[in-house]
Amino acid sequence: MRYASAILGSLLAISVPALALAHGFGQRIDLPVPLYLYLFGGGAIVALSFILLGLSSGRLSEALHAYPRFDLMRLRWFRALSSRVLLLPLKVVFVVILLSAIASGLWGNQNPAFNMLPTVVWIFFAIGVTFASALLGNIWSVVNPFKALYEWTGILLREAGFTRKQNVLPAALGVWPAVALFFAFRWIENVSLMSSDPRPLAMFVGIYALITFGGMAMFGKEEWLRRGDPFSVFFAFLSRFSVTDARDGTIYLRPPAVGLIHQKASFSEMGFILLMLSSVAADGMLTTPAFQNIFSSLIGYGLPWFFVGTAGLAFLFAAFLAVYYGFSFLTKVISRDASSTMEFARRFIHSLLPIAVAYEIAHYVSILVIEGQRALYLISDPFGRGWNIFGTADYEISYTILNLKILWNVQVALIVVGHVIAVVIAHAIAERFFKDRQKAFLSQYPMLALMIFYSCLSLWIMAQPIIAIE
Amino acid sequence: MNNQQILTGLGVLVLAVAGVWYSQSVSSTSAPAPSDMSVKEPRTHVLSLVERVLDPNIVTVSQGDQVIIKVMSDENGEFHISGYEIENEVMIGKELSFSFVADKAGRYNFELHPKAEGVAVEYDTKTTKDASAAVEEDIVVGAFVVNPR
Repeated sequence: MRYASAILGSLLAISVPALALAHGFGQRIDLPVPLYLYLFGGGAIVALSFILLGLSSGRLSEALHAYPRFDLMRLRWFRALSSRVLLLPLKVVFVVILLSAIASGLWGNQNPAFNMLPTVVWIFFAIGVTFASALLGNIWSVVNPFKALYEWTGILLREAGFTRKQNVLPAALGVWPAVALFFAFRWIENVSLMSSDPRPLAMFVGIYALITFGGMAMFGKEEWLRRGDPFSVFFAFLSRFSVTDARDGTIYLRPPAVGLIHQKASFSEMGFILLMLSSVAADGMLTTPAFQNIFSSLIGYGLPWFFVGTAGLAFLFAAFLAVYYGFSFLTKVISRDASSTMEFARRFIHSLLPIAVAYEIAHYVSILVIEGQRALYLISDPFGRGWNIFGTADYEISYTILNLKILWNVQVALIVVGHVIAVVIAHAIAERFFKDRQKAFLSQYPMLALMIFYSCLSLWIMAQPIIAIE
Repeated sequence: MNNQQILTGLGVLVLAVAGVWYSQSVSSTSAPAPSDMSVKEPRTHVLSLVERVLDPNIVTVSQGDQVIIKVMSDENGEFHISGYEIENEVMIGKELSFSFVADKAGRYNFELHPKAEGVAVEYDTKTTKDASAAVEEDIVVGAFVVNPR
C-alpha cells in the first residue's frame, strides 16, 4: 500500500527528482517467497484441485448445507459482552480514536511515523478491521464511529425538534455508490502518493465523513450503510466468510466460509466483490517489476502518473470483470445449462472470496506485525509532540519478531488453504445449483481453472521482488 | 466414477512428488553447511552516490554476515540504512566507511538525508516543530537485502 507510493516516488524520480519522497511508514521488509516454495505451492494447488474434483460426491453440499451452528446468545458471558452497557463505552473509545486521529493529522507532527493518523487508518482500520471482519465477523457494524456519531447527533437533533423527510436511494443503483467510493479509497491508497501524509489524509477522512453523514441523512442510516458506504459494504462481504453470522436477532457461530454457499450476488454486488479482488491484487501487482516496467515506459512517454496509476487500477478491475464473466460463460457452455451467463456469474462469485481473504492476509500480515508496533509509542505520543503519556514513547520497532522463513511458509500455506476452501465452496454451490450431478461435475472445470489461475497469480505476486530500482 | 478415481490418483501422485521435493528443498536450505556457521570474512561493498543515484543500488548479504560499506558521494548529507537505524555522515570527496553485522533479515532502504545549503537538516523529527521540511528530504536511493539464514 504505502510501499507502492514509495516505489512510485522512486519511479517518478526518473523524470521529476523533486517528487522522490518516501518515508519509513508502510515500507515492507519482507522478501519475496523463494522459488522452491512458490513452485511447491503452485504444485499443491493443482494437485489438490484434482483430488477435490475426484472426490466430488453429491453429499458434499448436503453436509455443508446443514452445517452446525451455535447460538452465541445462549452464552451468558456473550450476552453480557454484547449488552448495550458494554457496547456504549466501546463505541465511545472508537469515536475518541477517530477524532484524536483526525486532530493529530491536522495539527500533529507531519512525519507519518510520528503521527497516529496514518497508523490508525492504514494499519488498524484498513488491515486490522479487514482481518477481523474476515475471520471473526462484522464488527465494524458495531463499532463504526461514523455511525455512532451520526446516531448521537441524531438524538440531539430530534430532542431539539428537527425532523427530516428522507429520499429513496434508487433500487436500480444497487451497491454501485459503494463500488465508486471504494474505488476512490483504493485510488487514495495506491495512486494518490500522499496516502500517508497526515494532513492530506485528515482531509480525505473529513471528506469521507461528510459523504457518509450526507448519505445517511439523505437516504436513511441503514440504507446508506448497506448500499452506499464503501467500508460497511466491504466488511459485510468479508464477514460472510467469517465464523459468525448475525441473523434472526441473534449471532450464530459457524465454521468459516460455509456461509458463502447460500449467497447470490446482484450484478452490482458482483461488481463490488470483483473490485475487492482486483484492488487487493493491485496493491501487490503494481509493485512487481513487470508492471513497473510498463508504468515507467508509459511515464517515459510523457503520461502523468495520476493518469497511468488510475488507468492501471481501472484496467485491473475491468480485466477481473471480463475474465470472470468469460469463465462464467464457459461454465454455461460446458454444463449445457439453460440459465444465462449472468445467472452463473452471480451464483459463483462468492466462491472466489476465500482466495481473496487468503491473499489479503498473506499479503498484509507482515505489515500488521511490523507496523502495528507503532501503536506502542504512538499511544504515548499520538501527535508526535514529544509527549510521553504512558512512558512508552521511546519504543523502537522490532524487526526480528518477523521470522521470514516462517512467514514464507505461512504465506504459501494460506494461499493453498484458501484455494482448497474456494474449490469446495464452488463445488457445493454447483451441487445446489444443478439438480443433475453430471452437470455439476462438468461445470466445475472452468471455475477450477479460474481458481488455479487466480491462486497461482497470488503466489506469483508474492514471489516477485517487491521493488525494482534499476 | 472411473474418471474421478484417475483424477484423485493423479493428484495424490503429484502431491506426493511435490512433498518429497519440498522436504528436500527445505532440508537443503535450512541445514547450513558447517563452514557457514563459522564467522565469515567481512565483505566490503563499495557504493557510489552520484546525483542521488546509488550504484550498485541493491546490496545483498546473508543474515549474520559482517558487512563493510564504503560510500563516495557527490553531496553532503546523512547516509541512512532504515530499519537498521545506522546513520553516518557523507561528505563530498571523503569516503565514508562503516562496518556492522547484518543481524536482521529482510529488505531495508538505503536513504539519503541531504544537508540543506550547508546547514544540517534537523532530522530528529520528534524535536522539530514542523517536521515536514525534513521529511521531504528523506530520499530512498537503494535497498539492503538480508537473506535469512
